[in-house]
Amino acid sequence: MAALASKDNRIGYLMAVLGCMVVTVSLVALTRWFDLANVVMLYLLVIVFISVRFGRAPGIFAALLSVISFDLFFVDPKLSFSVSDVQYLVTFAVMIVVSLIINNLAVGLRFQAQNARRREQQAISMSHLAQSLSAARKNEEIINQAIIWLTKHIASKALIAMPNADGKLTVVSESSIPSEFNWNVTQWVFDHKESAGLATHTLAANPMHYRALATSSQVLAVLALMPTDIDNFNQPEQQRTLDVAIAQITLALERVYYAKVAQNALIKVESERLRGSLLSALSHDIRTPITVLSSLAACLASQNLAPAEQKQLAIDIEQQANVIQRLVINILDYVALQSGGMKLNKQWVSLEEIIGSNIRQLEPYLQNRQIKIDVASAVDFIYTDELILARILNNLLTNAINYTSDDATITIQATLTNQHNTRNLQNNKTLQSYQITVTDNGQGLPLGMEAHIFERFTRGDSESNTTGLGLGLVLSRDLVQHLGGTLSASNIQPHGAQFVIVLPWQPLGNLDIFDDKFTSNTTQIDTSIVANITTNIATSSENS
Amino acid sequence: MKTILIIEDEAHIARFIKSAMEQEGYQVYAADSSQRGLIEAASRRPDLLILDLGLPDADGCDVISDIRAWSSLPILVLSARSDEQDKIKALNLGADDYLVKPFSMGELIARVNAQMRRWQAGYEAPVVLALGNVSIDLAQRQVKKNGEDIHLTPIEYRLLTVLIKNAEKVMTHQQLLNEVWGKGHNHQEHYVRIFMSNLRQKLEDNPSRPSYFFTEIGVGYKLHIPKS
Repeated sequence: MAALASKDNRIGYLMAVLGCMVVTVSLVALTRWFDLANVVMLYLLVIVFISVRFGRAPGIFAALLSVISFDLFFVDPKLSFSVSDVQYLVTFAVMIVVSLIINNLAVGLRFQAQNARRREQQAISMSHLAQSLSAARKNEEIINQAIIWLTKHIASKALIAMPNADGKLTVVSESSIPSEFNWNVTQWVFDHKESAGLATHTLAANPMHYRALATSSQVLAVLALMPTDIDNFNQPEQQRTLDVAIAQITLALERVYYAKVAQNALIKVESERLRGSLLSALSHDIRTPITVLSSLAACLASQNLAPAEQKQLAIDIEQQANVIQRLVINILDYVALQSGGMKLNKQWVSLEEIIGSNIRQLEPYLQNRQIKIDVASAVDFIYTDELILARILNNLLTNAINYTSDDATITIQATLTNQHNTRNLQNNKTLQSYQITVTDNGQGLPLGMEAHIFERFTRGDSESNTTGLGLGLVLSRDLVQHLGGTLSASNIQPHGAQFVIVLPWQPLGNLDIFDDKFTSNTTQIDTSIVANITTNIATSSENS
Repeated sequence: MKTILIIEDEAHIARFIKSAMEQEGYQVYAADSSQRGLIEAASRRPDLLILDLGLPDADGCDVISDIRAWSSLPILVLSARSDEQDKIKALNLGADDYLVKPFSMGELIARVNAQMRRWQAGYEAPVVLALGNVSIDLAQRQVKKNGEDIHLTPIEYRLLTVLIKNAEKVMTHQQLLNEVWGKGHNHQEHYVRIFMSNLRQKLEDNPSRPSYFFTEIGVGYKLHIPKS
C-alpha cells in the first residue's frame, strides 16, 4: 500500500510540475488579455485536479509550485521575489487550504464510495445466502449451504451441531471434525443459549467462536467457526454480518422444523379422517348382514315352517355369516396392511394353483357360472407373495360372483407383457411384467365410476345389498401395490367389468433349480418358457 | 362303531361338532382342555381326534406331539384364521388335516369321513388304485390314463407314491421335500410346486381345477382318493 502510494505520489509530483508548467507557459503568452485574478484561477484548477487525483502531498506541492510560478512569472517585478510580494503569502495560504479541502473531500468521497461498494457486496452475498437457504428443503441442505457461505466469507472452518432424534448434539458434516472443536463448549452454548469462545465474554481462550442458533422458544443448533481474520472479526461490521447470517440460518432451520410439525399434524388428521370414514363405512356394512342374520334366525326359531322353508332360512343364515366373515377378514387385512404389519414372502409360485384353490374355495357360490382359465406358459410360475396374491384374486373373484347373474362367464387370463411407459423409455429398456386379468360379463362398473372405484369406501350401488365392495377393492389395490404392482378396472363391451393386475417381473434366472443332486454340470437357464425348464429337470433327474 | 374325540374349549362349537358327528354314526367324546383331552385320548383310544389349536391351557401343537408319541391316529386340527405358520407347524408335527374357523360343517364331515376311510387298523397304502380315469399300479410301476401309458420321471413317481401313502393327509412342502428329495432342502418349496404342476398336467383332466391333487395354498398338498 505504502509503495503504491509513493509511486502514485511520484506521478502526482510529476503531474504537478507538468500542470504548473503548462499553465505558466500558456498564460505567459496571453498576459495582455488575462487579468492576474484569472491567472490565479487557472492555477487553482491545477491544484484541484492534482488534489483530487493524487492525494494530499502532491496537492500541497502543486499549491506551492503554483504560488511560486505565479509570483515569479506574473507578479511585478517579473522573475523575482520581492518584499511587496508578501501579500501573495495569503494567496498561497488560501491555495493550500483549497487544496487541503478538495483533497479531504476527494478522499472522503473515495472512502465512502469504497464503503458503499463493500456494503453492496455484503448485501449481495447475504442475498445469496438467503437464496441458497430458501432452496434448501432439509436440515442437511441448510447446514451445507450455511457452511459453504461461512467458509467463503467469514471463517476458515465452520461446523453446525444439531440435536438428533435422541436429543444428543451431533455434527452434520461431510468432512472430519477439526481438532479445535470442543463438545463441552458446544453443549454449554446449547444449554445456555449464549455465545461462547473466541471474541466473547465466556471461555474466550477457545480457538473457535460458538453461537447459539435459537428462536424465542428453543435452541435449534449451535454454530462453531474459526474466523479467517481474527482482527477483522472483532470489528462491529463483521459481527453484524455474522449476526444477520445466523438469523437467516436460524430462520431456515425453523422453517424446516415447522414444516415437519405441519406434516405430522396432517398425517394425524388424515389417519383420524381415515379411521372415521372406515368406521362409518363399516358400521353400515356390518350392521346390514347382522340385522339380516338375527331376523333370519328369529324367523327360523319362532314360526312353524315347512322343512323346505326352514332349510332355505338356514342356508340364508349361513350366507350372511359368510358375508360378515369376509368383511372381518378384509378389515383385519386392511388394518394389518396400513400399520405395516404385512411382511412380504416372495417365492416362485404357481399361478395355476392360486387360481385353482380360489375357485375351489368359491365353488359353493359359483352356481351355473362358467369359469374360463387361460394362463400362458410363460407365467406358469411367477415370483410373488403367494398368500397375498391369493387374497387379491379372492376379492376380485368374489366381486365377479356377487355382481353377475347366476349364469355369467368369468374369465381369468394371465400373460407376460412388455410395458412401455415413460419411466422405461428413460432407462432405455422395455420392462416385462406379469399381467393377470379377471373379466366378467355381468353388469359392469357403474358408468363414470371406473376411476373412482378404488377410492376409499365408495360402492358401486350406494344402497346395494352386496356389502363390503368398497373395502374389498381398496384392499385389493393396496395389496397389489404392496406387491409392487398396479390394479386397474374398466368396463368392457358389450357389458362387463375387467380388472387388470400388473406385477413386476422377475427373470427366471433367479430360480434356483439346479444343484449337484440333479445335474453334474449346471446348465444355462433358458429364460423363455418354464415347460422347457421342467422338462430339463425331469430328464436330468432321470439320468442321475 | 368308530369313536371320535373332540378337544375344543368353545362349548357351542363342541356341541355342534358332536351332534353332527353323532348323526354320521360316530360315537363322540369331548374334552374342553388339553389336560382332560390327553387323559381321554389315553383312556378312550379314539379312532380320530378333532383338536382345536387355540386351547386355553396349552399350545395345541404340544398336544399333537404328545399324542404322536404313542399313537398314529388321524388328527384333524381346527384353527382360527391366523398365520399359515401355525397350520404348517401342526402338520409338520403330525396333524393330518386342518380346517379354518369358521368352517362349514359339510366340509368337516367330508374330511372326517375321508380320514376314517383311510385309517383302518393296520392301514396300508393301496397298491392298485384308480383316480377317475387314471389307474395306478404301484407294484408294476405303471400309470395309465384312459388306458394309455403315462410316463412319469423318477421324482414325479416318488412324489406320487408319497402322496398315495399319505392320502387324505395334508403334506406340507417341507414334509414332501424331506420324503421325496431327502433332508436338507429347506426353503425350496418351488421344487415341490413345479413337480406337483407336472403331476397335475399329466394326471388331471383339468389341471387348473384338480379333482384329486389338491393344493392348500401357503401350506402344502393333499391327495384325495374318492370313495370307490
